[in-house]
Amino acid sequence: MKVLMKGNEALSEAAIRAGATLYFGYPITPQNEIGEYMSRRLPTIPGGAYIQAETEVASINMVYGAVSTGRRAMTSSSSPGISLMMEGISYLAGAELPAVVVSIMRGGPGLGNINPEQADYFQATKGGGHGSYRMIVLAPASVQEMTDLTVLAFDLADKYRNPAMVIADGNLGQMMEPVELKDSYPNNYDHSDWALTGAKGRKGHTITSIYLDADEMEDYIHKLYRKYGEIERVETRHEEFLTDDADVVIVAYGIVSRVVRSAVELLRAEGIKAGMVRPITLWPYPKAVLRKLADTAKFFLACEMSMGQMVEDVQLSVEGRRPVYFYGRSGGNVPTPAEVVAAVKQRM
Amino acid sequence: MIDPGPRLTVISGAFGTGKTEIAINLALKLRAEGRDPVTLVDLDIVNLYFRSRQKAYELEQLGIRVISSVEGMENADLPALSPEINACFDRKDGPVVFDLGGSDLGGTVAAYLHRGFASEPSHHWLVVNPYRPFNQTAEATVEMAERIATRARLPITGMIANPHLINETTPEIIREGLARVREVTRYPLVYLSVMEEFYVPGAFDDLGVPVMVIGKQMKQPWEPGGIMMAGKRGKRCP
Repeated sequence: MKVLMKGNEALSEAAIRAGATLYFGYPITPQNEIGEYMSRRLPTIPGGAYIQAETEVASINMVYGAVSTGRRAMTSSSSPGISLMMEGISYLAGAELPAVVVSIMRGGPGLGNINPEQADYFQATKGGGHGSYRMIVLAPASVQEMTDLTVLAFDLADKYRNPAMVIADGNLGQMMEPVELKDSYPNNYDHSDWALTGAKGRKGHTITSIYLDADEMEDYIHKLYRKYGEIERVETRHEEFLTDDADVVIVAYGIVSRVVRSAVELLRAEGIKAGMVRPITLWPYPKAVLRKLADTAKFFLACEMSMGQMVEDVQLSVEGRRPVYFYGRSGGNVPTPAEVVAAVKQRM
Repeated sequence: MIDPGPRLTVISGAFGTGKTEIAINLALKLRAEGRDPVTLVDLDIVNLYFRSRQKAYELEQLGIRVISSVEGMENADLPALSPEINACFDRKDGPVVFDLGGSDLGGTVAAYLHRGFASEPSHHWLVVNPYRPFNQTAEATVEMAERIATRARLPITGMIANPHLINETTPEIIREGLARVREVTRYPLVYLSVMEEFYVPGAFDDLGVPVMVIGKQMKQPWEPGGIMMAGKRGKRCP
């Protein structure tokens, strides 16, 4: 049976049904429903715990400790709070730990405001934290996907022993849509060869990201990059909408893809052959599909709620073979379908 | 015809049950019936998304007085209310609809106005959508409702059934949902609200409850007439 849920509530319930029993976080708008939901639900679950940490720095390090035991754990925050978590995310990647971080973007830089933005794309996909690492980044575009991609984030984190982020914006977190949840989702990854579960009767496990010798460190980084290469090969996800004959390919993710879908329909009604590519994984980025569409499309337009961040990945994918333009709004303003239509026509 | 009883109506409920939709529609209906002035008071200081004040400009064009936070602070994450709210009780000049924030936290704000509410009778209507996570059983609904009533210092006098799944609503969803709301026997059922796109004249006459047909107010940015989070410039979807 379907339930009517906010994005923030839906992803929380999905995490619980995927076996996440531990949540650590610090309040920040517009993602407070996640903490509220977890604080209600987790204490009623066997082995469940909810902790409001003293800061986001503490939250991410509590996650580090929790997932080191092989349990599913998560944290969530919004832009300034996610900035504080970056050191911990680098440590999670460095120690190959499977954690899920939910980022509900708001306006920035600095304190910014509590309105929806997509200006933390660079932070999520290009490092954010220090060192040679990659984080899996999933971008839902509906409340149903907030649940589905949260479940997937836990699976990919476990499968690759790597942090995974679900990235959305304040509007997606707050809006309500009908969702369908399964009673439970499979959670049967075997972590017994590395997790800290008590060394009685066996050799102890060590979880660390320190390699003092240069060659050892380099070998370890190469091992990580073999894993990242595998993730790029196997886990890239995207959706195409009316791209088969498209002269104009609009690239948008998350909530902006909802606006762009309407814009594509409006353009088609006027006889303009527009289509959309919606990256579902922001890292790994769906480069191949854009590269292929560059054979037939006349130009690309990246639409974002930022001053232009993902547009750089579109440019890298298209490799200079077609013009790549950008249209964006910021400050918490969500573009309208009419604005996107005008942005396309202006470039024709 | 909207209940001509008490001048003051407080709309409360769990998060996301449709309080703001109902409150705005109620104010619009009162205005359409010629009541003047009609005042809508946005008391939601819990959550800054999808609040009445985002419709303030349009409502004011229709002759509805909207009172919310201090001007210029609409997007601040602060529990700030306009002192003008107290004037609603003093003026005694027309119906006032109070849109409370979600859950018992949201209810607390009404307690701050309890001297005003003590000065004349009011409705306190609870909005229930049984398709929302914390309204799924009668026990959960009553537990939340009583927490709201206690924190608001206002007993609940009626219940508005608002059973829907937004664009996936069907007549069956409405009927089944209403039956589940009726499992809450503690409060009288005053209205069944039905979004206009799912309303068929006569189709709900057998249900034995007045139907309030409501227009969807808080639309998404990609829908025609969608509301924007921000922007003093007051951008609207065409």
